[in-house]
Formats: sequence, C-alpha cells, structure tokens
Amino acid sequence: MENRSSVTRKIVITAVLIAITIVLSIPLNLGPFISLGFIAIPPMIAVTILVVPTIIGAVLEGPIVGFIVGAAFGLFSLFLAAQQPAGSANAIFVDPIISVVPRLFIGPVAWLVYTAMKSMREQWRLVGAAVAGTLTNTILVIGAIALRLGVPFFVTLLSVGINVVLELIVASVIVVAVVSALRGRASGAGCSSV
Amino acid sequence: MSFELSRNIIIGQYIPGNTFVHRLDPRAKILVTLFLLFGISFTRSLIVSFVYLATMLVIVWSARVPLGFVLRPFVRGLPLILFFLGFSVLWLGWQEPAGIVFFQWGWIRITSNALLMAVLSLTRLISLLLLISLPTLTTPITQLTYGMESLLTPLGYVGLPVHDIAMIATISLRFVPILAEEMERVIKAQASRGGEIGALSWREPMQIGKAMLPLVVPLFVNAFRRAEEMAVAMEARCYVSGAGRTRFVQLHAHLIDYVVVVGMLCYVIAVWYGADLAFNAVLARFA
Repeated sequence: MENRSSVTRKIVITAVLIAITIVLSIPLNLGPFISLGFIAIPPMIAVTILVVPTIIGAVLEGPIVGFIVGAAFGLFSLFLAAQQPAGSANAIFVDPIISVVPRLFIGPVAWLVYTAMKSMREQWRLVGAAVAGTLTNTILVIGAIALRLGVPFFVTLLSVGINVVLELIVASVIVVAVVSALRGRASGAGCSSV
Repeated sequence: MSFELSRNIIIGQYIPGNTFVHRLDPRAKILVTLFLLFGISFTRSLIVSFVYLATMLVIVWSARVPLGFVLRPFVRGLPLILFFLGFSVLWLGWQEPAGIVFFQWGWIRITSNALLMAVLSLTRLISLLLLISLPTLTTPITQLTYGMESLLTPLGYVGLPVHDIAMIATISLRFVPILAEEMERVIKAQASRGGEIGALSWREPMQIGKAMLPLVVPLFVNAFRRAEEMAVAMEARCYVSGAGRTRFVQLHAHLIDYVVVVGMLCYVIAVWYGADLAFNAVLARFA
C-alpha cells in the first residue's frame, strides 16, 4: 500500500477522510445515535467517534494528512457548534481555541505513538495510536475549556469521565477494525481478518 | 425512523438574501471575520467585549438573519454553560486578587473578579456564536472555499501547498453527498437484516458498539475504494498537484470590499485600545 502513495492519492484520501468526518455528524436521531458519530449518553457531552478519521489518516498516510484532517475536523466542529447542537454542550465549541487548536495535535500525536511502537504487534500499535489520539483530543479540549472558561480541569474531567473511557474503547475497536479491513483489501487477500 | 441522510447535511446553512452583507466579496467577509475573531477572543476587558457584542448584533441585524435562529444553539446549551460558569465562579472565588467579596459561606466565596470573568466568558461565547454563524449563513459554501484559496495564495510563496489544500476542500465537499448516500445504503442494508440501532438504549454501551461496527467499517472501506479509484482517474488524466490551474469561478473585489476590510480593521483596533479610555472619560464626566 505504501509504495503506491503519491501526492494525488494523499490529496484524495485526505479529502475523503474529511468528508467522512462531516458525514458522521449528519443528524440521524435513531435512539441513542444523534448521528453516527455522536452517541448520546444523557448526563453530559455526547460520546463522539469523530476523531477516528483523523487517527486513521495519521496512521495510514502520515502526520501531515493527520494534521490537515484534524484541522478540518476542528473547523467543522466550530461551524457545527454555531449551527446545530449535536450535543447539549456544543455551544461552547464556538470558541476556536476550544474547537480548532486542540484538534491540530491529534494526528501528529497518534502518528508519533504509532511509529514509536514499531516493535510491537500491529494490533497493539493501532490501539496505541487510537488511545493516544483520543486522549490528546480529550485532554487538550478540557485544558482549553479550563483556560477559556476558567473551569478547573478536574471538574470537567470528572463530568466527562465515563465518556472518556467509552470513547477510548470505541475508538480503539473502530480504528483496529477499519485499518485491518483496509490493509486486508489493499494487500489483495480479498477479505480482512475482522 | 427515517434514513434520509442527504437531506439533513448541515454544512452551509445558507439563507439567501440580497443585503449588503450578502453582497460582500467572500474574501472580505473572511478577513473581517478573522479580525473580529482575534478581537473577541483575546480581549480581557469587559467594556471592549460588550462593544464587540453590540457590533455583532448590528451586523446580524443588517444581514436580516433572524437572531433567534442564530442563538438557538446557545439557548439549548445554556444549562451546561451555566453549570460550567458556576464552577468557574466558585473556583476563581479563591484566586487573588479577589476584588470585592460579595458573599462568603464556608468554602463558597463569590468575588467581583470571579463574576467579572464569568460575564466576560458569557459575552465572548455569544459574540463568537454570532460571528461564526454569519459567514456560512450569508455565503454559499463553495464561495467561501474559493475565497479561502484566494486568501491563502500569498502563503504559496513560502512553501504552503495552497492548491493542494484547495483541491482537498473541493473534493471533500463533493464527496459529502456521495458518502451520505453510501451511509444511507449501509444503514438500510443493516436494518433490513434486523440491525436495530434505533431501538437501543444508552444503558447498553456494548450493544451500541457492536451495532456501530458494521455501519462504520463499510463506510470507511467504500470511501477508500472510491478515493483510490479517483486518484487513479486523476493521474490517468495527468493531474499534477500544484501545476498552474485556472478556475471557472473568478472572484472580483470592488472598491467597497477594500473599504470594508480596511475600515473594520481600523474599527477593531480602535475598539481594542479605545473603548476602555472612552468609557472612563464618560464616567469621569458624570461622576
């Protein structure tokens, strides 16, 4: 897969990952699914898997693609916050320092962790990248909320605590499943191991 | 339950109109938005942020955008925002300098400086909400993309791949309806096989996760298949990234656009430095 990576290919894949980010947040209103990317867990902010395309971009195509997809994700969540609330808390994301800046780091961090775990098994590398990317998002967003709204860090962390655990599990499972499915297809095996 | 995804796409809720704000060049709108964004985001003064809020209200009014429509996300998110700000007031109550202590009972202490910070945060949120929604409400999304590319062009000289970024934006906007249709098909396929994603409760996170996997994985796989086909098609047509490309839509800035950009820049700077001084001067006159 890697040896076929041209600039054109990277452009198109980046664009598709951004499109997936947008499509995942189209409102569905099917039970707990506000949209495919947001799952309502009543007390607090909705659990989201919108970081997943960014992490997958970083793992498959490197940190620059991850950075661009992350930036687009941030900008999109900025506009989304001003247009239609996907979760109850979305209005605070109209501040670009909360919505855009933290998302720039997801891709590069996920890529760094993925590269650093070179000696491990592929599945664990993917889980590592997913966990690192999701945690980067959560911690930096909470940090930005602390910075901009003056809310102490641990209060927000407590209030989204369950969400963080769920997001980590869901993101890891999806990243592993999607990347192995894509790799399986690209290597010509015809079917994936999942 | 309904599966009509392509109807619900939420980027670019454009409200057609023919006001002055609608007619401005998209580049001018982006620049003015950026100026105001910096002003609103980084001011530490309550007076300055009130003036910016008033400015935003005037612009929204002049664009004939219904204020209730724009503020709806804020109203829906208000309980959580107030919850956050409540904690913020309690937390900042113990920070020094405290200013005037209004109220103290046990570990609860409410001070003027903490309240000031909370009001500042609230004002900033409302102003930003108005500011962020305006460009997309008054400009078609494609126009905004062209404007963004045109504004980024000078950065091409320092090595930023502007054409590639513009290409990414264009392709991804084109892909959204296609992928929405794709996702609709996947959801319908799962529903017809007895997948019950609508009937799940949030109390069963494992079931939710299990229901999600067969929806998300095909979406990614199909999207990547399309991407690779498209990359091959583009290369077959000799697409070279960054080669001098012309475009169908040309933007033309008029004198009024330049006037608006320069005028708003001066205004934002003047308010940033001058609002406090002016307020104190008026206060001194009456006190």
